[in-house]
Amino acid sequence: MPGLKWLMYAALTLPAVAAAQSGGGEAGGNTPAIVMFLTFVVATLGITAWAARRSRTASDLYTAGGGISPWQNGTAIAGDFISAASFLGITSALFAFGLDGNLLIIGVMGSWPVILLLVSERLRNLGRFTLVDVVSFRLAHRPVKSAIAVASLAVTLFYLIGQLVGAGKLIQLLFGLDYLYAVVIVSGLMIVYVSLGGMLATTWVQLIKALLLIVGGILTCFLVLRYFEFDLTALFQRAGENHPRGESLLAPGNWMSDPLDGLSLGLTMLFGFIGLPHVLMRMFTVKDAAAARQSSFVAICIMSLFYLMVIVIGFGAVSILIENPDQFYDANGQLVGGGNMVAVHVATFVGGNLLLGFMAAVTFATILAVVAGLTLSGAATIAHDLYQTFSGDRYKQETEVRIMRISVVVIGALGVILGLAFENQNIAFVTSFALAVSASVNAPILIAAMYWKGLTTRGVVISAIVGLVSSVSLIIVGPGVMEAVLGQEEAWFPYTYPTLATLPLTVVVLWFFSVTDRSARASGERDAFEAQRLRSELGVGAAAASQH
Amino acid sequence: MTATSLEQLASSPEYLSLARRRRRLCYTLAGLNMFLYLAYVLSMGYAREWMTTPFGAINVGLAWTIFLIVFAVVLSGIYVWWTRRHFDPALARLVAGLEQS
Repeated sequence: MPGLKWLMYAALTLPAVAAAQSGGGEAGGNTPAIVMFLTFVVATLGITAWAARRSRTASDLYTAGGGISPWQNGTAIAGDFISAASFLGITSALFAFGLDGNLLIIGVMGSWPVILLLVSERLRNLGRFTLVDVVSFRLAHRPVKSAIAVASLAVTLFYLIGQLVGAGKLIQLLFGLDYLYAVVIVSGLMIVYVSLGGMLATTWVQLIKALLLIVGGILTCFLVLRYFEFDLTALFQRAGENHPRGESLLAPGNWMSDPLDGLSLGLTMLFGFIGLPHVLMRMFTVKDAAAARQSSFVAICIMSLFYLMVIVIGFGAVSILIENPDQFYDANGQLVGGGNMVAVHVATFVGGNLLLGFMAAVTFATILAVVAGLTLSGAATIAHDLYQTFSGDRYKQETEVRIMRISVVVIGALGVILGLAFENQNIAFVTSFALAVSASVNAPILIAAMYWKGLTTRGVVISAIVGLVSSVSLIIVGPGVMEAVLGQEEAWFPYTYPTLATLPLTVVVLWFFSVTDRSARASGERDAFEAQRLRSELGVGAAAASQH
Repeated sequence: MTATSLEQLASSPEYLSLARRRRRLCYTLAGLNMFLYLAYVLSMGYAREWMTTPFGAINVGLAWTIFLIVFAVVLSGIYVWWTRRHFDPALARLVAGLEQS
């Protein structure tokens, strides 16, 4: 049955891919890129067909039955972070702002040890598929699951829209493909991967893409170093000499001129990355807590290697692009293709059309992989956290699986519609919504649920609402929306990221409404903490890997 | 494992001290990590002069960036090594001892 369905879906999407090939002729058409991308698509569709035969139960779809190895999982987790957005975005930030661009790297590298040390093992021992499971472990299921599911869905959808719009633009540039086609192809393929192949296919797509991106990164980094005759000192010195900012490129303050804005960004990343539902979900794809710990460590090693290379590529780009203005700057002195193309230009310069094609294909693949993970996590929240909780006696596993698959299609379609609606908007703020909600709601509540005995249902529900409303509204009245989108002179709230205000607010609300909760339910919840702590440390009774 | 033997394990002094040691290691490392991270972010805002002080061939800001990226691996490596070398085997011994008795 799934095999038949798969053929149907494949028949639906392949013409679109073919159209991509024929439409990519004039503007940015690059034959190696298209060939390599089509190879990736065929390979991943093959994997999806294989995974579809093994994905029948809800557990298979959400977490691949817990049968992923720590190495595979760690690589896939790293793949969620070394995405197109981060690779192109961070190299561009380093190129434009120098030292300040490193904040984006340190945000990821600062939050991951915390995830490993405080979150990964307890999460694996307490939950089954999602972070909502963990938060609601000893609390009243309906109110807590609803509140955290809404916050999770908000994070996932905001993140997804940001990725899709960015993806459309990027593919337009790299493949000379129409924005509409780009968004439709990404959503279509993603629906096939996730609805049929579930977590198994999603993990493999992410894994292959991560390996390709690492190979591409190592190659580019090596060639950049060769340009500077393997002299790292010269690389940084010449960056300072060439850049219009001069030596101040290597000084802080070019981007985050207000220190408090920088601090708020720092907190947003530190806690925002801890609370990302689609990343936390990967901790349930391995067999036990020790495997979750190893996954995190593998991910940290890969990310740290990759980001070191990104620093070399980003600062190397300064000299390479500025010393060769004819190739990369247009008549007006603007970077060809816009500010996000730095890494792509560097790849072209050091590796020619072939490396450009490779990096373009990997960029496309990376968008697919990240979008697939996000959609899977959104669908799991709808089908597992919401349907299962609210269906009561009418619950049927077949219905849950069907709802999960329908949700994937709906999220994919929604992505296309919103992607088209926001095509010409400056939507950088959408990603800040995602991270700010994650940092102000998901992360503090998740950590409190695992470590604080006094937490109660009332505290979670009220603080989730307060955190969600305050972080979204402060972004709207902040510079990201009021100035950049609505074109106002001065925003009411001075900081792009609201976490500096909203995280303490959520924590205080969480604390206050928990300690003042005198209900019988609350005291039962406090009493249940000891048992929860034992299970979180020992993993006794935790969901084991399913047999195949 | 049954509920009673689980409680037995949980209240045994060996387990309590083992769990305490792990918690202490986790909190220390996580605290150190967050301290260095926040110090970095704050220095980017409030100690800009100092961040541009030469450090070898580069400056303090860049050196600190690279240090933090490498340090994340070292810190996680210490924890993963300790749990594999000491915690997991000790816990396995406790569980095995309990199942025998």
